[in-house]
Amino acid sequence: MADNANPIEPIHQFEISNFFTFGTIGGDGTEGSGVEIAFTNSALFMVLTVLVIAGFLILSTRGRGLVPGRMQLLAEMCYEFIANMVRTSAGTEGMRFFPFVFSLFMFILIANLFGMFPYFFTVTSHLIVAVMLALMVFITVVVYGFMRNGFGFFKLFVPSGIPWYVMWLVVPIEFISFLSRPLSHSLRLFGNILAGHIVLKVFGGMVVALLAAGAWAPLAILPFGMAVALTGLEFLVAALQAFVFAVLTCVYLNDAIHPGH
Amino acid sequence: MPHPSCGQKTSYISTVYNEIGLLDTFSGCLYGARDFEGGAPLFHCGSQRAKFGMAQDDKRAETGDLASRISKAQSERISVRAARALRRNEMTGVGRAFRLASEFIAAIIMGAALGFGLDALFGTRPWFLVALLLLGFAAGVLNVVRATSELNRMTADTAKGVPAVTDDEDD
Repeated sequence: MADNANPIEPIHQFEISNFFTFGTIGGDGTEGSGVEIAFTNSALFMVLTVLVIAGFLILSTRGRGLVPGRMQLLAEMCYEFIANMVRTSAGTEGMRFFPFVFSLFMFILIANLFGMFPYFFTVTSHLIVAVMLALMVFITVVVYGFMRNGFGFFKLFVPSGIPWYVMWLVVPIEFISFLSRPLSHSLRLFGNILAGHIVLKVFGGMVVALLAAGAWAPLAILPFGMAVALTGLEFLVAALQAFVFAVLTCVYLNDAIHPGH
Repeated sequence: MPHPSCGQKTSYISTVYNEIGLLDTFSGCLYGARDFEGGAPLFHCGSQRAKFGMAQDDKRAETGDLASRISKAQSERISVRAARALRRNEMTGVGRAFRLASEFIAAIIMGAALGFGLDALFGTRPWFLVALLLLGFAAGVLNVVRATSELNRMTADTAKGVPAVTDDEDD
């Protein structure tokens, strides 16, 4: 995946490079100060992800056949899958958030799968992307929870049926538990994708290193087999993490709709 | 079966589709999401009705056969999918571990960060940090217990081969 001087370096694949810059915000005008706003390779792959999703859904549902063709069936299966997930974990009322959950799922899934192509950039391997997605969910939960339940949303921190004298201990614990959600939500996605890609790259690098080591070259088959197996596993992880992110989004939205355990 | 919103008789094939629940989105008249609260339906599928509703009696035998074939294929697919989901749940021990670990660590980090911030605000270092770190541990354990029970429920549901159904009532 890396074509620089050191092909074994596993972190190079996550490097951000600017294609063109729009200018800088802040700073004192000197070189390297302020925040540079640029169209990066990460931004490019986000745009590509959105284009692929939009193209797939628009083209596949254009026929609107009563008996769906292959592509339409695929699109309908995506719809059904997420719709069932939302209904099971957030109730029928949660279908209000179906477009949100569907967008999140498709974006993460396609971005992860894009990352499986050699030389492609993996958008979700950067913490900031995962954190923004998780914060979007978190803020939606908080805002909608207060909108819908008013102060009843605080019932989320007060489990029913506990005596008053342990309340002072339980409420802070529940509060920290609630605040930790966006953290674990984003860390999981980011960590899985990052770790998977690094491990894949390390085994790929071992193949290269062993092939270059003369008499040791036949041993290269071992890390090669590992890399092949891990590639399969990574496809699974890519789909599973998108699924887990969407499921947890539904679970959190359920708390906004029905606070109080 | 006349549809309430357009009053037209729906064709036999759409009735079949509704009975076996193949097209969740197809309500006999409107082609839109069933529970989607977006208001107006997306598309009217009048052209399909015209196409399929023509020779109803001729098609009846054919569609009955088709319906039985569809339901057979569907039940096969569901059992295959349940088996696959079960296997997947058992296989990804690493995913399970990662899930639980991140739940645990996130609560500790959040507790520590909260304590650090409150200490900086009130100048009481290190008391808030110590207290909230401990509470963070407790919250981490709580998170892990919740996540585990949720995972166990998911595994139990896939083992039974039926999707989990929760009640929609406020409780």
